[in-house]
Amino acid sequence: MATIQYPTFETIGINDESIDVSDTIANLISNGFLTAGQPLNDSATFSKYTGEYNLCGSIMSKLTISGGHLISETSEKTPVNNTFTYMTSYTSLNSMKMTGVTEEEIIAQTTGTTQTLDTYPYTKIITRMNPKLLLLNFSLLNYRTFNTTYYADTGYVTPSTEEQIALYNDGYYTSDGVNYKFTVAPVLRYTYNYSPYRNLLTIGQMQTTYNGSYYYYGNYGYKPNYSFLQRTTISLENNNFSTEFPEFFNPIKSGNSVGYVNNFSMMGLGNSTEVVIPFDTGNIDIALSDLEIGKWNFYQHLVLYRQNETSVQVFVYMTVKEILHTIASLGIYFSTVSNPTSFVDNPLVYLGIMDENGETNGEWTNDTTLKTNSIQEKMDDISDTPVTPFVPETPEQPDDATKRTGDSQNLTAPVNLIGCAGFLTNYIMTNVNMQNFGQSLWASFNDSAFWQSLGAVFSDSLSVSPSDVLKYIVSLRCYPINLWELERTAVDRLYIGRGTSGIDIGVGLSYTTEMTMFKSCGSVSVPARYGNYLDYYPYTQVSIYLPFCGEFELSATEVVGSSLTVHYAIDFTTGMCTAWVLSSADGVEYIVLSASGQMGQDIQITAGNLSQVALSIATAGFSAIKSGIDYAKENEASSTYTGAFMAGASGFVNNLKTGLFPSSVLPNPSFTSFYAPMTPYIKIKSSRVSKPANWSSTSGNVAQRSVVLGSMSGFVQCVNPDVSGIPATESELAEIRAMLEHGVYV
Amino acid sequence: MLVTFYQNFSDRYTVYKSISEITSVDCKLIDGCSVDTPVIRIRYNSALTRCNYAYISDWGKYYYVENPRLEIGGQMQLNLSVDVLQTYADAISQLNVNAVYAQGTNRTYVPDARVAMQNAIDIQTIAFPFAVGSPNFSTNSYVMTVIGGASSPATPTGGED
Repeated sequence: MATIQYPTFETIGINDESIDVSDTIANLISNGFLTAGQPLNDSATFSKYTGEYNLCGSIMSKLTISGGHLISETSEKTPVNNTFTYMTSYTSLNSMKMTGVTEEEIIAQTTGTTQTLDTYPYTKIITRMNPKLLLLNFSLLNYRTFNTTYYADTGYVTPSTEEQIALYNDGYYTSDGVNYKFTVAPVLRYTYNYSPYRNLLTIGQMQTTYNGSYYYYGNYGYKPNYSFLQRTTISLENNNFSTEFPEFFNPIKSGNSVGYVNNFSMMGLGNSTEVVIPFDTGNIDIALSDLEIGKWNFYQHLVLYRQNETSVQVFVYMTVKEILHTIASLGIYFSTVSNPTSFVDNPLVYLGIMDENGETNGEWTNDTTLKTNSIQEKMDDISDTPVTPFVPETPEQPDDATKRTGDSQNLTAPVNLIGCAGFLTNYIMTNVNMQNFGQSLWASFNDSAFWQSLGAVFSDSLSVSPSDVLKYIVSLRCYPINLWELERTAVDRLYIGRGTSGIDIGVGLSYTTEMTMFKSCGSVSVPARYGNYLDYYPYTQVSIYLPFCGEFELSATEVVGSSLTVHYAIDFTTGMCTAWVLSSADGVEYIVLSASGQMGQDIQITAGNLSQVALSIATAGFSAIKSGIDYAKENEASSTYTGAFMAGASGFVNNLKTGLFPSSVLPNPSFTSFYAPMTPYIKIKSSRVSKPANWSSTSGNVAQRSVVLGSMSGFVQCVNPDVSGIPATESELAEIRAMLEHGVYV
Repeated sequence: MLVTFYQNFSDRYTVYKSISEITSVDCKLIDGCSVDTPVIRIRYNSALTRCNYAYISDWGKYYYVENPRLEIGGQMQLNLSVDVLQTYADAISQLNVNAVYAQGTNRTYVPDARVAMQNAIDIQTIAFPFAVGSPNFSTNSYVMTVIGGASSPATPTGGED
């Protein structure tokens, strides 16, 4: 089985406006989503795209096109009652980071049959990777919501000063409400050009640049007789927008038709937020909603995150370029055509550029040569991945956070998992299989023909006993994981040894020749709390809990400020698991901890009193075999059952005493470990500082450096000051020296 | 000897003092006094009672005014002690010193042993995004490992999944 590396996607830049997306727009038009010169201004045009579309893998697992806002352009000014959200593009997706990719998921995604993209020709995403974790760091600064009746192409929005007008004209796009074009505005002409979404700014940049009051003129209400003057204040002090309507007047006559902007409301500034969106659970719904596609050339990326009955909506607004950057940052193939028949040689299929470390930069290519030689195409072959020994360098600036240098020691899943086909068979059994297996064993215990058919074993003996067959069962274990992701082969019967008949224990039985399983728990960042020495040992202590392995202390100095990733490998032959903890920071990745534990818990079938076996299984919370026994009790004549059971029990005990059965049972299997948390977590213990507010001015901060005293300001305390050169008496020099060592104010 | 009197508003450990001139008076030194700690006698002047600082230009030294006393005959006696930081302020400012603590700088990642730590800690836990297993027993998987079996060439395989 081919296996893919585990790339880590670091921050991508998305504010680059230099990317030409004209081809994308052209493809939108050529595929019928946009019609040149004919906007999506009627419900019939728009509604044909209404629906939900499943994408294969990628951050946009579902694409939703809703009714959105339709702008009526009829002469009657028929209102269209829609609610839509209209952004002012003070929103910036700052960074994006993903970890965790497994090939099984990719296969599951790419071979699925849920792709109904034909009706939506824009975003055909052909994924090579399925991100398990997406970190979105964005600034949601402001968006406006319009409700109820809305009329298009009318009204005016005008900054109040010439300076502001110049600023708008210079730095902002405007939208053409008549022709549905999206251009850089030479002048302020149309309704919506108060939407500054060309420059994606941080909160600080926006506040610094746009601090002040803006006046928006428009018309208000259902009736054309009311207009409004709205003043919006961007305030540095309260970190918010404030809106007021200092006056209403009637009507605005500006040489154009009367317009209406209704129920103009504004949402306040939000802080930059990092949102962690896990992808593997079923209660997550990710949707990309194109409320504004084509019309305003920006997109609303609507992320619905539902968990524990709590619904959180996160709005990330993105331009066309940002969408393309974002998709490219996934390192996947994507296209603007609906059904590309080929990837590499198709100029309309793009591939996110990825370097040898598996990191993308948000750029893409459609060059055939580049795609052919891309790291993605080589991912199936990682046998020659070079590993360079880590050579630490002497840090030049010790007064800094912990730095890591050297080459990353990535942990990668093996190309082929370890297998022992022919010697061992690992049957993956369902609960029903377990029940049927138990039923078959006990119901047929004295049936020599049954055992004969089940396992001829190696001797081809005609007198095969239960012990002959059961000793070929190496182990039976329960794992608290889903093993159906493994590559496996379905069988209709359970075969043991060289037996050719097998037991029919129901459908769902399969076996795998793989002896191990690789599983990733994703990554978390270990945050620095203070941003100074207090974040490190001994002031801060970091430990990690690894299910089935225990809790382990990590070096805070080593891991604070880094990203930790946990991978598990599970060994089916022993039931053991090994966990690796990788630290990644400064572009360097290495293992900081590995630990082992017992994940698979043995189910006793070949040792001890049978009734105790059944009891131990039942009390451990696993009713499979017990159910099988119960079934046997109900379907056998009591005397026959009792006789068979007792005879079998006696035989088992005797065989146990004589040591016939191989010891495949751990002495103390503990299913109680299944009750412990299954999710790894880190625990950060931080010290609290007791420091007066004027500490710095009266006691100084740690300096530990040579300085010219006069270059400093405030409190300075010296050690062994050299006062030579001062034309003072010896007693005066001694006093100067003492005062400098005490600390002086300069 | 001309002595200029000031009001000093600065801490004793300040190199460049913040001073405000009050008056300059011709004073008489007490015989046998030290240059570092001179004693001067002067006619009583109420303004002098507000002074705490002085400068003797002939010696180029700044002094703290200490223990002013009224004497018989309308005289005042003032004890002075030299302020080496102000007197040699320019030279001191040019010193190249090893500063261990300073207000204007901060070595963020060098521990400051003087800072007191509370006897309490804050604990933060951060879970990884994906669990290694499931706490739901109904989703557990069972693996039976047998010798030979279906993967053995002698055994028929295949079936419906």
